[in-house]
Amino acid sequence: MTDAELLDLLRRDRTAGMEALLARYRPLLRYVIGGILAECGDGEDCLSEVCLALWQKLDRFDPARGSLSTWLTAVARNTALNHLKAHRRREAHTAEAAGEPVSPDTPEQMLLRQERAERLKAALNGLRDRDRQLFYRRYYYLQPLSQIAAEMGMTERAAEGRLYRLRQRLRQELGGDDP
Amino acid sequence: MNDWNEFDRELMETVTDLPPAAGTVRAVTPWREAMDRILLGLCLTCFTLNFLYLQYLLPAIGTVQLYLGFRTLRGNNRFFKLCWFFSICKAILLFTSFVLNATPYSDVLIGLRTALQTGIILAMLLILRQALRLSAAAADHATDRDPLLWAAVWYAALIALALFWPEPGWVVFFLMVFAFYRIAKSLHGVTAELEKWGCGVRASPVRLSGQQFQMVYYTSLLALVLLCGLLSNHIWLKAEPTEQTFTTAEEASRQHLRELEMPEEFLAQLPEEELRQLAGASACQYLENEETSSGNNKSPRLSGAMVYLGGGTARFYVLAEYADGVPLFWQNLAEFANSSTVRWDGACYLSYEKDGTAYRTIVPVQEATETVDNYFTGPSESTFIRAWYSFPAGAKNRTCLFICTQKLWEAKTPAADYYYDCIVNFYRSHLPITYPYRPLTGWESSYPVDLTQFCQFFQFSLPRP
Repeated sequence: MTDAELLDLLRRDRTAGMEALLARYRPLLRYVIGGILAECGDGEDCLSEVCLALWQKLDRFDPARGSLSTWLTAVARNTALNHLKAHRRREAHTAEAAGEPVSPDTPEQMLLRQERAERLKAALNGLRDRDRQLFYRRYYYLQPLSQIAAEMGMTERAAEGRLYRLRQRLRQELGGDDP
Repeated sequence: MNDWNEFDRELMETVTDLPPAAGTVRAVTPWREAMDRILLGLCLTCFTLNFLYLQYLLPAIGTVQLYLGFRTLRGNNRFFKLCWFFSICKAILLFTSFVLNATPYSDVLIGLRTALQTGIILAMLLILRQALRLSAAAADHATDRDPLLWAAVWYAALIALALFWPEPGWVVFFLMVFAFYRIAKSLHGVTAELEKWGCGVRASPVRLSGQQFQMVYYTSLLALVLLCGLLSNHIWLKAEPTEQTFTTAEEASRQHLRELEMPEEFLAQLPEEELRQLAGASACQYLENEETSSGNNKSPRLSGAMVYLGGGTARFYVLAEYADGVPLFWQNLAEFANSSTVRWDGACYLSYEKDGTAYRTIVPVQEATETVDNYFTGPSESTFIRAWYSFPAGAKNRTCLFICTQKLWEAKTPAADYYYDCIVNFYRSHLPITYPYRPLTGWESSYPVDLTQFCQFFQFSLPRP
């Protein structure tokens, strides 16, 4: 079943469509979550959260803005990241922060954030495919170095060295703190 | 993430607004890089293109890709591990074969080596099929297609075509291309299958990066091939220092040859054992080559002598004197090519000076009867006497003396004056390395050679009784 057929099914029969979507994309979702939650190991709980999030947000998906797999990856990543933050807060006994409403960005902060994103986008466009993949694995998929190294056929040391050079380059292009 | 600094956190926050492009999402999987390597490796090793050294380059690249791909996936199940083991065997076999190809042993067990390489690929296709089925089952995915089985079937068809039509015509060639297309298509089908459940596989850690492994493998292979090629293309001959001291009988023979008008400089090149054979010579004719085929200053100066020994038998001597500075470190070939008479006792001597000492060595000669296809007279059997030699680096005053005994006539005395055209070819390889190793074979050599030909007409007017 193609993505278009899957989306069509979701429109017609949401339950059946969701089942088909999960049958197809569960390994991908599990993979994205597994990288982010490698250290805390409650991936299955998070997968349930992701499924719930997908059910709730499915109407927001716009095929014109990107592929279905990109969108699913983004949802899984953000949910897993929130899950990780919550897990850390629990570990650090700072439960009070969990339910604390996050203050929205001011217009000035939003502008700064947007400007940073533009500069980073330009910098990423200048990278070679392999370096871009390394960057996304590290900062978007938040994969552990050992996983990145194994999947890219490198030793951890080589991956670390490459990542270090990549950071230096980005630091030069974007500006940032010294290591 | 615990050891991240502010810059790392900033990157992580910022990239949230920049989700990866579809290409990056496709690339970030545990299997894609490894499986791309495996599929590329299988494609490159399934088909042989016999030009521009692609028959060596493509399998070398493919074999390394196979090893790197299976190395990443080896931890998933025992079939992947078995594939990894086969890829190691294939890499070792290819390495050994390529090094062996650079030596005179390039033909040793060539059938077995080819059969092993082919068998390993076929086995890999079938074992990889099992490995993927097992992984799919582990990911709760039922496979409805079997692309690797088809790839194995088409590969078997390709082998059958190669076996039954080793020199394919256009029809068989197109059939082979079609089989290869089917293999490539089937392998592409594997990727399509993995898109569905491939995120369930696991990549294993490695101790040597793919880039480092490739560098080590290719560099050591190239270095060994070059070294073996260089050593093999220099023909090692053990030379002894010579001292020109003659026994009384040899000195008498020298004097006799002087009286038969053999030039002194030519006489000086004859070894003692030859002088002894020529003691009873009754006539001698000496000729210098006036022209050479190459006709440049790199051609050796050629001269020859025919010494009549009596009873219709003559001994021919052809001397090649090489100019200093002409590279002779690689393969050289002296070949007695005239086919019309009976001859035997072929011999070849090299002489040179090095560090002020004169050396002489005997070069082994080989006699071979071959069918030569002449444009005018049709195919006929000819016997060739050949000697392969190389001079050591830095040698001076280098000469090659080629000798052969000819039966000129069977009757006690010839009916009339006797004429004999003597042809000796001296070949010199232009290349320090020939890959795969092949000895010089005269004009039919598949690499550039220099030829200088001694071609003279000897005429005897024997005294009538």
